Amino acid sequence: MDDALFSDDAPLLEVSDLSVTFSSEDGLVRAVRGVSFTLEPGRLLSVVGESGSGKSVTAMALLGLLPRSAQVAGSAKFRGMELLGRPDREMMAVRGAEIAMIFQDPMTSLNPVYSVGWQLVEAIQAHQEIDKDAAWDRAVHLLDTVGIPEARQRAAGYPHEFSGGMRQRVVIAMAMANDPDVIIADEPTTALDVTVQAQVLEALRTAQEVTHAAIILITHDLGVVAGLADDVMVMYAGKAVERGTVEDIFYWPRMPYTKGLLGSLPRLDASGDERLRPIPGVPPSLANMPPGCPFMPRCPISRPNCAEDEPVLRPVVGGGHLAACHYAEEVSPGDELFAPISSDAEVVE
Amino acid sequence: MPDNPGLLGGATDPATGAPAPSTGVGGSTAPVEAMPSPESFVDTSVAAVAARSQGRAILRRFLRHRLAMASLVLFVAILLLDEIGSRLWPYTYSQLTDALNSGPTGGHPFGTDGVGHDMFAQVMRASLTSIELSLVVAAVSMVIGVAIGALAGYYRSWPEAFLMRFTDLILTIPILAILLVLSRQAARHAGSWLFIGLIIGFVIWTSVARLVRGALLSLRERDFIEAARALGAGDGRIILRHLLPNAVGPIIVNTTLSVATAILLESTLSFLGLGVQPPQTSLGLLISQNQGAATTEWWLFAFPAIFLVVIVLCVNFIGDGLRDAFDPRQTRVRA
Repeated sequence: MDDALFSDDAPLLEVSDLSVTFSSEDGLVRAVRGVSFTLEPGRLLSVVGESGSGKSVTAMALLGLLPRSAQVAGSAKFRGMELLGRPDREMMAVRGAEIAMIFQDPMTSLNPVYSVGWQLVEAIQAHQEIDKDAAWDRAVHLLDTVGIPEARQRAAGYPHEFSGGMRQRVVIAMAMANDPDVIIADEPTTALDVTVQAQVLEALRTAQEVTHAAIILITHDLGVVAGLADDVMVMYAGKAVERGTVEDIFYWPRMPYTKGLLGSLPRLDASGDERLRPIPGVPPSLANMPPGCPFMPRCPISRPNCAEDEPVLRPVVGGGHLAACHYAEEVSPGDELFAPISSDAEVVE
Repeated sequence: MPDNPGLLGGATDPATGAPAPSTGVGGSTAPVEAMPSPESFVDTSVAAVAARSQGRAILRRFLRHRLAMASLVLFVAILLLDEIGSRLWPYTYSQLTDALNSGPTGGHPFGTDGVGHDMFAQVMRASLTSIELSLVVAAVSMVIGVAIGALAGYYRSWPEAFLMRFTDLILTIPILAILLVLSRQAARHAGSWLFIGLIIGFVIWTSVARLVRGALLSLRERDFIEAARALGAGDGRIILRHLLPNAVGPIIVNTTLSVATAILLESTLSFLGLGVQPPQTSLGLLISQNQGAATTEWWLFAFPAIFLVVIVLCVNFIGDGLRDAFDPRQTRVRA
């Protein structure tokens, strides 16, 4: 990589007004509609949202991995170097070396015909001038770091000989292979059993300690967010609707949608007969979006003007806490906005 | 690859070989790992060196495949018999002996034909020609088919449209018509098995190309390809090192089938007088010449036919073994 392209005082990753549009039979699908955030070294930013809220598309846009039919606008600067619209040849030097990616499904993201050691060696040699034996030793060391037992023997094994959790650790080891500055993990635990999720997250945390990389963790598991994240960005319908530190978001969410997400989780500290409070309705279609706040039809505190102007992400109560709601100040931690789920069992009783 | 010094060299290399950021990770604990107790050091290094080589793993799996190994031995034995046996045998394939229409005897174990050719010498010569020719066909059709199929399947859009319409064009023209036109040109090289092999190879690559394209269309959408790209792999690396190794099964099966097709096509050409020309001979030529004698002078037909069947079977079993060897999920040992 040409070091002259980077500047030291620029932020590690600065995304501003990123938007991605796909054309489909139903017209233009605006998958991401103006997302901005800054990633600082060593921080873990968690991107939360429902399926289809644009989380993964945002990540793929950063690495230039979207299909050519996608129209990407806005800006994403890595150490001051613009990533969007860079030719593929130059992006190849960034992928894996500066920004690495961990995919959702470990069962399919390893090549079935090569041993995991071979795949690690390939990842290492793609960006480093290093001979095969040294690369192999480094591969074994990486496997050891992410918690693969007997790494030297296991390195010769093939992906089908590994369990899902072990494979995801191998994938994490591959992402660490070139000491990237940013690791993007796209729902790394979604495809795994709950019991191995914790181990994989531990491996991810180790990866961060070893490489000092900043991590973008895409997930819809709020438990994972609470345990790992420094900062949280909540996405809805292609936009960031709330952003803040993990404490801001969990203790005093300011956007009704975030509040709904948190309220729909079972809580250990609640009394046993309390019911979950789901968010009614479904997210809007990203093609032909109506004007106004996209959450308005599902929102319990919406007012007529919500249907006309879409709220922008703005600071609430100072600090770094941002929310995109006209009435963010009215949302308080104590109130429950959504009704508890009703159940047939209750009727029978 | 250096065998024993692998570990020692590897332990010290990250410090010198790798750029600055990786030394913190690679250099710190590697020496500790590399120096366990003496005997386990030897064990793990030998095992690790053997296991880390992808090629050796494939070879090991192939060697364990008994049917494929038996076929390989038989195939080599036939080749040696053809190469060396024909020099030691008292008769040459073109020599006319005094025995006419003799059945199998001590002097002529495969009998003789109506003009006195010794069939054993003829079959040896013929199977050599057929093997050489079919290997040329297999190589040519595989190289062209894989290249065209891979480019079309990976790049899609206009390269695919162009290459696959070209493939369709070759497919729609009757194969025999192309062969006849092309082999007219071969008149100058009359009887040259190499030339005929090239011609057949240039015609039958279409099925490999379509197969490879189909396999790549599905493979290119798999997550591990996306993952490879996210690690910084370029198009060439993705095609050669990630996609094609996963498509090895259909490629090998199709190529071994094309060996049988090639031998039969060559016999058709010979039958029409455009393939291998007498006194040169091939298995296809012998069979087509003598199929009328199958019930009367059975030895004229049976021995070339047996050789043909054995050779084609051997090639297919070897291909089977290769396919299993390239597939690491295939762990059971075949009988």
